[in-house]
Amino acid sequence: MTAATPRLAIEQAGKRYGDVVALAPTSLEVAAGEFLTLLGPSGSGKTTLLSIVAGLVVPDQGRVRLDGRDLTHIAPHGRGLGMVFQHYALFPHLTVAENVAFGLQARRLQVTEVHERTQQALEMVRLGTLAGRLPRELSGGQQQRVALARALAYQPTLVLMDEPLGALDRHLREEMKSEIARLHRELGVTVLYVTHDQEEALTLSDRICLMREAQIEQLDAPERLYFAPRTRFAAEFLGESNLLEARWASGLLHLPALGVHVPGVAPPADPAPAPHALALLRPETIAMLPVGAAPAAAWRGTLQQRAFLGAWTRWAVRVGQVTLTVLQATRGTDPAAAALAPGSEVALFAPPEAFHLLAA
Amino acid sequence: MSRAVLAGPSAASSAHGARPVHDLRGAMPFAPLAFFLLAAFVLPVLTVLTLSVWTPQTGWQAAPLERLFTAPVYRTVLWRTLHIAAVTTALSVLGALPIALLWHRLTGRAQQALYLLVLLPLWTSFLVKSFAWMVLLGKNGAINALLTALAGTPAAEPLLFNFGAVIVGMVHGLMPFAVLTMLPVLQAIDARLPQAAATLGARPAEAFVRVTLPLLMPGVAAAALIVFVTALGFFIVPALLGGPRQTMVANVIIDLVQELLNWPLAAAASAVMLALVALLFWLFVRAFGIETLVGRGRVQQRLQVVAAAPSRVAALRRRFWLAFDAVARHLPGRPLRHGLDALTLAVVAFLALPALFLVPVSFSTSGIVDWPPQFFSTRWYEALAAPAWRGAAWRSFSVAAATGVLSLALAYPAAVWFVRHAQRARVPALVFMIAPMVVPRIVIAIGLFYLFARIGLVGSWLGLVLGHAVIALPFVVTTLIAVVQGYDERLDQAAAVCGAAPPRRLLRITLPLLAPGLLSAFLFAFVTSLDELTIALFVTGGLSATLPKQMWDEALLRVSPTLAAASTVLFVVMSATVLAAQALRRRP
Repeated sequence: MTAATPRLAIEQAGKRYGDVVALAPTSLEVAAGEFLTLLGPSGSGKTTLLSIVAGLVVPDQGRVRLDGRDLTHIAPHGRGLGMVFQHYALFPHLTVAENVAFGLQARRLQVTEVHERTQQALEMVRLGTLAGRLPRELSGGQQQRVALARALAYQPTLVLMDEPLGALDRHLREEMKSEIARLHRELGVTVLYVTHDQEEALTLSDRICLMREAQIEQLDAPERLYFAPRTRFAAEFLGESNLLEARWASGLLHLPALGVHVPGVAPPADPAPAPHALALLRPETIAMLPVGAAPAAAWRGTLQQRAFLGAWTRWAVRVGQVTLTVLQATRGTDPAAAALAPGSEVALFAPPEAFHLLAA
Repeated sequence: MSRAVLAGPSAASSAHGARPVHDLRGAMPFAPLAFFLLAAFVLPVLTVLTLSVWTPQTGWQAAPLERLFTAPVYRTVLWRTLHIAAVTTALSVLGALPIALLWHRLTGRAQQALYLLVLLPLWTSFLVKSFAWMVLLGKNGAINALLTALAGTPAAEPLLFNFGAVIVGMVHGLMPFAVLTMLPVLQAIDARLPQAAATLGARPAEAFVRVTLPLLMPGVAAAALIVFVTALGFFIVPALLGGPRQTMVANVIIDLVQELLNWPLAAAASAVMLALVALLFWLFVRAFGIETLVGRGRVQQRLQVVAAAPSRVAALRRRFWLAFDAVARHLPGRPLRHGLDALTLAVVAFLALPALFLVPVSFSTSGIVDWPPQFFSTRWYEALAAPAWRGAAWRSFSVAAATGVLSLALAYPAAVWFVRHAQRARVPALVFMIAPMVVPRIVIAIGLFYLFARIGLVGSWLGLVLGHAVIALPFVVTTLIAVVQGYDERLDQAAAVCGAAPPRRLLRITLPLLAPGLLSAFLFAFVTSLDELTIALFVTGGLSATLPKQMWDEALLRVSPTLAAASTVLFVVMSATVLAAQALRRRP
């Protein structure tokens, strides 16, 4: 038993609808002040898990505890949580201020206190001047802010967010991402966040809970999840990846498809995968060099395709029997880059620490 | 040289001037329906309005209107009509609300079953429903039989031919309309809003009062409006279930036209009724928009305009729910909810069961409508084989079929035009097309009677079809608009790009996809005509009755098991048609 009780503890919570398993029995703990994201494709069970915590879905089994208090059979209105809904679910017949005041009024606070704290919450999301508007008179970003203010106004210890940025365009999404990060930092509130957008998850989270087919695939800090995924699914879901069949024996990594041996690679975290394993090589960790300038250990490859992505350029390079994806920072008007046309020969190099081994 | 210079200013201006012409040509599909409604609806109604202040014999006169408001007998009838309509409205809406909410809470089959339990009474003929209440409330009826069995004596007071019986009959007849008017509004409320209220700490009662109920208000108001204006024009229920002291305006109008031949006074009463209805609709549309009435569109947006109340109203609202909440907090939640559910189901039973009492009566051996009936005889069905009944049945079915065909032929092009090209003309066009639903039927009926009498259409088959098409068109048009809106025009374009010529596209793509919707619209027109009595009352001559007219004439003489048999037949045919139309509608 750890010293501190976790803010939120989910113990073996599971839900099925007939034959369909919406959530396999799942356990998860969220520490006070933590920002934890449930990430996964649609149908992976993340929204079910969130709804179980909110009390909108009753689990078939398991428990949910908040600060040690058993919430499992408590109705949503008795849980004292904050929730930001997908598409916000703002009350269309109430003004911005009335929406934000709703939770305070439900807590039977004095009229003056309701007013004060509503104002505070609106200032916090920089909407003080729009208190009298109706939701439909606001832009998407402003509605999002109202939804945040409404969920935070009564200072819940845990705030649930269900794809809160899903309905916004790219620019607003960036803006609201930093807004949410700021609120989390300033208020010290615990956040359980659901998204299918990996960038959001990587940017905001202290830890990410990657979900797949109604269960947890991997629970880790963003960097760990990105560079040290434990499964093929985790490796492929986040970012771009080269996954190569590999054999590891006493410090030497053998990559049959490339026909090369790489010395000095760390042993797999889980000893089981050896001797057959997968080696993950993130495209941006591969250096691409002119054939002449390459170190001796570099591999030879042929350029096949180039895709210009702006700051990055993605290359498909044929090496041995496989095609590797290589991401390079775009080098402006570099004349050397101009020489790299499909068909040209290049050298590729990846340092031993760039390889991560996982179970095949 | 550029084209603009070549064309010159005159060409530019003529191109500009050509737009209205183009618009008119674009509205061609709308023209047949428009001309039909102008001739068979607007003209008769205007004629009635005119007759209230001007007749060829007397010239301009204010006497009829004056008399209406000064003669005690007519003032009493006007007030009574408002009174009965108001009580009916209050009870219908009050009963409809829990049914709508129960429907909203249910899912899947249970929801569908409840829907049908409301839909079938809605489409059961008012005549049939009234006969059923006569069987239930009569001196030797089912309720008195039950009371005798339980308490040893029947009710001390007569249950029939009084105010209570009229209210029961009218509420029974109109509550289904209230339910069906509320459902689309209820359905448009985002299911996550009550959930959001719950996560914010609001208990279910509070979430209902502060979130669901305000959002449902336009639906409640629409239901009240529909019930009230329909109740204003009622004559079947007061005539069959009420006594002389329950006579309503429509009964008086019928008497004035058919017995007293006092057209100006009948027209004046119609004008007053029409003015009241128009005023109520105008107020409603200003407050909530027309979409709420036809069960589609962005109800919520309109609502928000209304909901943007000044802060004083907001304070009142808050005080109201605090008071409510103080009470609700001390109520035992679960028993209360079960109690409410039981009450709701009782109301559903009140809607669905009465018509079924006619079935056993129709197999009675006795010639008197008593409860329990003496079994078993099919003689009353054999009585239906009499030439009068057979002729009426044949006329009813052929008129209903022709009404369906005519209204479909008029409404389909208009619906396509409305969905694809109406643009700015949408709202006035919609108001025009659903207006026959809004104007009391009795007004249309006497207007048609007056005009038909001048061109020899009274007593004719064609006259009936024309009159019924006016009544059926609003239903057909709104159904077809939904059908056409649901049809993806790009399928046509895809077929065209594949090389299909228009006839092939119509036969292979459009018609197969639209067929269920078209058939469903046809069936609704069919049942509307089959059930229609008001127009038939005036437009049929003595020897050319429809089934409802034949039943009405018979009922005014005496209520016999023959009527129960005819009602059972009508009930079965109507239910089967409605169920078929519903099944077609639900098909994807």
